[in-house]
Amino acid sequence: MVVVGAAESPYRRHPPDDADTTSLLVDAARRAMAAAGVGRDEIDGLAVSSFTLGPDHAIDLAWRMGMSLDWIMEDAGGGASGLAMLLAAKRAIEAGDASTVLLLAGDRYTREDFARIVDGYNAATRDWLAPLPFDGPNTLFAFVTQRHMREHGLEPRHYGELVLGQRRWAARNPGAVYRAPLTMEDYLAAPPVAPPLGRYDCVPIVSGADAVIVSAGDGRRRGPSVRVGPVRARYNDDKQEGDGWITGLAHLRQRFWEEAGLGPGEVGHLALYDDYPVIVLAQLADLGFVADGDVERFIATKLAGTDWPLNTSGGQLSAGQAGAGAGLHGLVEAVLQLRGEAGERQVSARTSLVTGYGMVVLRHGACANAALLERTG
Amino acid sequence: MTGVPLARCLACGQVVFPLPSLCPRCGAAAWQAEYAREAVVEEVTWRDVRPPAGDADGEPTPVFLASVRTSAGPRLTVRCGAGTRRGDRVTLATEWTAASGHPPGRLVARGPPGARG
Repeated sequence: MVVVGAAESPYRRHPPDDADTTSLLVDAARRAMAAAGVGRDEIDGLAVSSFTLGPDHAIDLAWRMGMSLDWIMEDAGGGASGLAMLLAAKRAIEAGDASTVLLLAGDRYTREDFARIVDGYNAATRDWLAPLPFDGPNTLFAFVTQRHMREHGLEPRHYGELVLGQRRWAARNPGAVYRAPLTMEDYLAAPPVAPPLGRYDCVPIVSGADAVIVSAGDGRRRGPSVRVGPVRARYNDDKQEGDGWITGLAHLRQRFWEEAGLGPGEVGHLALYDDYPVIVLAQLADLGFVADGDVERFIATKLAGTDWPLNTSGGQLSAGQAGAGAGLHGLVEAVLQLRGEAGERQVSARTSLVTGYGMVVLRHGACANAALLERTG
Repeated sequence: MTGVPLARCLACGQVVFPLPSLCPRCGAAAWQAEYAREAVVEEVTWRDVRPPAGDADGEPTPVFLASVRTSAGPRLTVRCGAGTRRGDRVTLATEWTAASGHPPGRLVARGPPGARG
């Protein structure tokens, strides 16, 4: 299976009044179809993830777009939904149930939507966190970050190196909502959100949507195709009993790299899920990038002041988090990079590692997945 | 109400919060209620919580929250006082927000600030 095109409906802090979730998803779909050179009627499969599409579902979106389909799905995996949909589409195509699948994710996501969604995220949150009041996951990831700091002897400036690195990339991405240069002094002086987390450790909430089109791989499309290698997932790995800074990726690491036929040091581009800096560092360790376990040294040598191609869109931390669109954002960036469509921030890479993470069920995210993409030709 | 309602699996003894459908360790579904009345603070943070919608003049209020470990095992996210520190031993209470004594409920840690565990 190959990815034949990807696109993003522009992320905006303040969407126009007439832009609803459906219109953002459709805009992303049309942009991806144009990028891929795929006509609407060539698409026979649709996968959708959104927090705010309701009361509509995937079939309503298909109807609104005039699509007749052989395969359809809806995923509720939040930040892990993008790769969950990619994996499901891959299996559908391999089984012959569909030949060309459109993956869509996004939300018109205002601050009020965010407050409503986080307080009612699941029954446990509604019953035991919302009454605190809880006011969203920043609190929980402040705890995870404190544990991670103690375990690895880190200080806020270490997380700042990751944030600054992503902001350097964002400066070259016209689609990022935050592009202004950021210094370590700016980072450390930022208003506290939930200490040790400050403003730049938390994603800006935006509205927008992302789209990816995958196909059986006939190759007769616009631009280079991107082969989808291994896609692996792990759910509820620690049953919420761990410290939160080890994700399910640690469980799937060995099998993933065996299937990939290469190792972490050979990956040319990374798009790791970045709802918080600590989760990026956790995933890097889980996937074997910190070979000696010395996270502080890894930050100093790999992240501090470098242009290591990690989250080259700026990531969610600078480009924004468009609700469920976050689950596809990294995949879109990886496809743009491998197809040579990344403009000023284009890197030279034949492979990209993409991850998803999310769905905080009580203390930290319970879903994790990873995919490896490779440019063909 | 003093304490936080935990559940002990009758098959394997695992103590959990909140009450799950099946025991995460052994898969059984029979429980004995027990209460966590004390815990040790492991992490503390705070955040400004905005006033309710419609309260245009209200100022954000700092709310202090902690992750605490109960002696039976489960870790809980609770409301705590401004002086709470890592290592403090605190007492736990549940403030039911509905008269029924069932969720939703606010978990609260109380303890003399600085009282080390």
